[in-house]
Amino acid sequence: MFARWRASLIILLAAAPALVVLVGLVGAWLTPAGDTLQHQWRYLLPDAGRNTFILVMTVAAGAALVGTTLAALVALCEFPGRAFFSWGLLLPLSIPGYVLAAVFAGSLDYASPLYSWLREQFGWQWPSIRSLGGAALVLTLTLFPYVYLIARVAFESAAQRYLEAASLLGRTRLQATREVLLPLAVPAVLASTALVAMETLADFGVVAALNVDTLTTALYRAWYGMFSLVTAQQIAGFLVIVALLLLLLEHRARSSVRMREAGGIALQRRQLPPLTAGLATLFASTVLGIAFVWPVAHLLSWASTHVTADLDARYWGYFVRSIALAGLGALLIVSISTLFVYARRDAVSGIVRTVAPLSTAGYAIPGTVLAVGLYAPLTQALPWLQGTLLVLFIAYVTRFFAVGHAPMAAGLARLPTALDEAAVLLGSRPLERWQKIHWPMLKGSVAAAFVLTFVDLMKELPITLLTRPFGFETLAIRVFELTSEGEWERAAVPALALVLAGLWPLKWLAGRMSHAT
Amino acid sequence: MRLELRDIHFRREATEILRGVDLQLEAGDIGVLVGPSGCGKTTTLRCIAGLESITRGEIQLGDRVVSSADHCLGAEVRRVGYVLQDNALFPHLSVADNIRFGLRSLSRDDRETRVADMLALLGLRGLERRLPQDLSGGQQQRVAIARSLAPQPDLLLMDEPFSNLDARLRTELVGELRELLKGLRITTLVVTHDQHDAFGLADRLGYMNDGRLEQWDTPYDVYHRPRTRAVAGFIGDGVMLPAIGKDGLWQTELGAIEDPAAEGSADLLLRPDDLLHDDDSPTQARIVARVFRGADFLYTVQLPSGLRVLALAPSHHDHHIGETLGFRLANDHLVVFRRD
Repeated sequence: MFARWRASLIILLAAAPALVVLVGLVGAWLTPAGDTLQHQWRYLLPDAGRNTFILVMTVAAGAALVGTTLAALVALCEFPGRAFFSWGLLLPLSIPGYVLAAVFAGSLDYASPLYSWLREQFGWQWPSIRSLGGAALVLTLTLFPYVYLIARVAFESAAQRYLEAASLLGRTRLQATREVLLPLAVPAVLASTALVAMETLADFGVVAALNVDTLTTALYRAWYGMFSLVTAQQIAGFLVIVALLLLLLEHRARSSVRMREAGGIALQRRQLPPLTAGLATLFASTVLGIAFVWPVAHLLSWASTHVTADLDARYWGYFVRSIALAGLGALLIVSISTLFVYARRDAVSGIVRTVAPLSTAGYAIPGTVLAVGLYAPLTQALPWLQGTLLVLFIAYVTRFFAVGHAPMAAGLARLPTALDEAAVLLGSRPLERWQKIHWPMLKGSVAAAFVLTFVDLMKELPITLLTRPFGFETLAIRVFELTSEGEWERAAVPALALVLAGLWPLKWLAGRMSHAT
Repeated sequence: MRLELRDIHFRREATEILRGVDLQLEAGDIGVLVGPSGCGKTTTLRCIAGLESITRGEIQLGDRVVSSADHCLGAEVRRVGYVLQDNALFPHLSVADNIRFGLRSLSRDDRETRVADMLALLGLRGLERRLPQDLSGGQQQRVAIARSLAPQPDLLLMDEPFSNLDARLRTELVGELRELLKGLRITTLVVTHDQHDAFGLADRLGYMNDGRLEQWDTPYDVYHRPRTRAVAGFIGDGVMLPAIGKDGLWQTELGAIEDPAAEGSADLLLRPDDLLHDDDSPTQARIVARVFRGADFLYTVQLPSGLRVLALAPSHHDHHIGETLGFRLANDHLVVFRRD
């Protein structure tokens, strides 16, 4: 499709923002620390660092445990409601972490009506949700579906024949599961847990809403409160190193997942005895209830009391701006991904191939870090960028490129160059080839890439918050601001809009999964 | 150990997959099941292994009934080795660990001795630490066999053991495998769709069709004395020659054939080796196709009635399509299918 040098150029351009961020951060580490940073290092960062560490470890462990257990139950056992839970457990993915945090804070806080009532009636007490533990709970509940989804596919693709082989060698079903299926699923669980750890490390919305000091909030304060760019960049540099390590872990684990896919006869699920089956149903409903049903019900009831008071002309503004930002961003990402996957197919130079993975590594870089790492060097080099949306879009593309790239790459993989060669030999011209072969085969991937990035951009918080022009508000920003002011109930309307948007790609995902089985 | 199936039936949902299979395999013998896909071969193996419960009949291993309509001994305690199709080697375990997997009940020393024995027996020494994905197809096949043999099962089942291998390797492995199994004196039942593999391995050969075992005999008898038209059509090449029987003679287009039982109308099975090339023979026909097979030519000739028959000729008898070929009947026995 492309001349070789053009292909190389496209790949280098796509990788450029991530490179700029990394180079800038290395530069900041080489700059001597000023007073503010010394102050930070001494008083704030040890706490923030410790909190971040505990949070990442707790959420990773919690999500791995909950996700793997549910995946094993749904993939290997039969119990009441299993068919529903198989897709229903993905529903929590539609609730942005900061929305769930707002619901929890608003309904379980000391002064909340529910807590007051329980306290007076039954004398119940519980630790404040606005704590490290509360943040860990909220993040675990929003992130466990990643582990659930990936582990379930691993269990299902492990195939019946491994279980049968083990049983012919003298193992009971339970022993075979423990000795064969669980070890087989380890890489998948590890890969998805690394993903959860990455998301937790990058989280800003939940910890900010629940007033927990972590490295991302420290970075935000250094940038927004103290206007110390170097401090922010140094914290960012640390975050990026950890994030890239996690990315490496995820990558290595995933490559061994691919080797282990088996295919063959589908797994025959084992009917659980009544009591165990009941417990399985209870466990799955409790998780789904706390992570999805209850928060959505809460948002609905809050929204119904505030919708008339709040839903004025301003909301249309938030709404339109959210859709416009997400739509334009998604369009940009899909276009660049399309160019990129074609370019990568044509590019053969060694350097270009080495650089290419960098363009998707932006996914591992926390939004706060990207915002700071791009905004500073770009506005220094080109001052007129200040107050425009350009930095925001560059940061969007850098962070969410991987989301749009994955379906495009998968789509193009189904279109081997031999098809092009066959078409050329039949006398087909480039435009005709695109219209008759490439577009019909790729349009599904393009749609998927657009929907997935669109929804991620709708929910995106830290980049928008840090790089938007002054006073530019979207639904996500509105939820964040109302939450930080303690106006949880009024945040319900924009929050519900975000949840509704998040349900959209789930429908697509569920459709694909049922297609695969 | 001796294996006996008595009238076994198996039904999955509304479909009757096995409809009364009877089979006896003496201890130490190798039995082979062939048949079209979907005929129930693999299901038969799965029932014998205890992976499926039969709906009627009995499966007896040695002197114990392991499956009946109301009782099914679990696969994990049945002491049956089963080399599954595509091997199902555990991808996360090394070659040695795969072989060791079924040896849990042995002491540590016995276990290691057994693993070493198996590695030596199947020519896998030096590969014990490799993962299955780093092995060739033939090596994976050997590991799968070693894993199934290691616990010293009473019976070995193999499902399409050569399906992933190329033709040359197959021929090699078939010979090796027969020698190995005979050396171990292990009773074995193999499923394959390839009749060359079947002939190479079997002491007993069975043809399955539509959930029934149509014939269970020595390979020689299955080939030369097929009991049904389906068996005759599946095993070996052959053509049905219409014949009218009268006064101890079958009258056919190729001449009269003596048979005291000749009576009524029938089809006679004609194998390629029943027709020998002979330039001096009065029977001549036009060659319509030929296949060069190295050692010999397989000619297809068309008789005046339009019927096409196969004739075998040594490799140096090089005739072309369109020429006439002389041949004579050289059958030493008759296979007759009556047309009633």
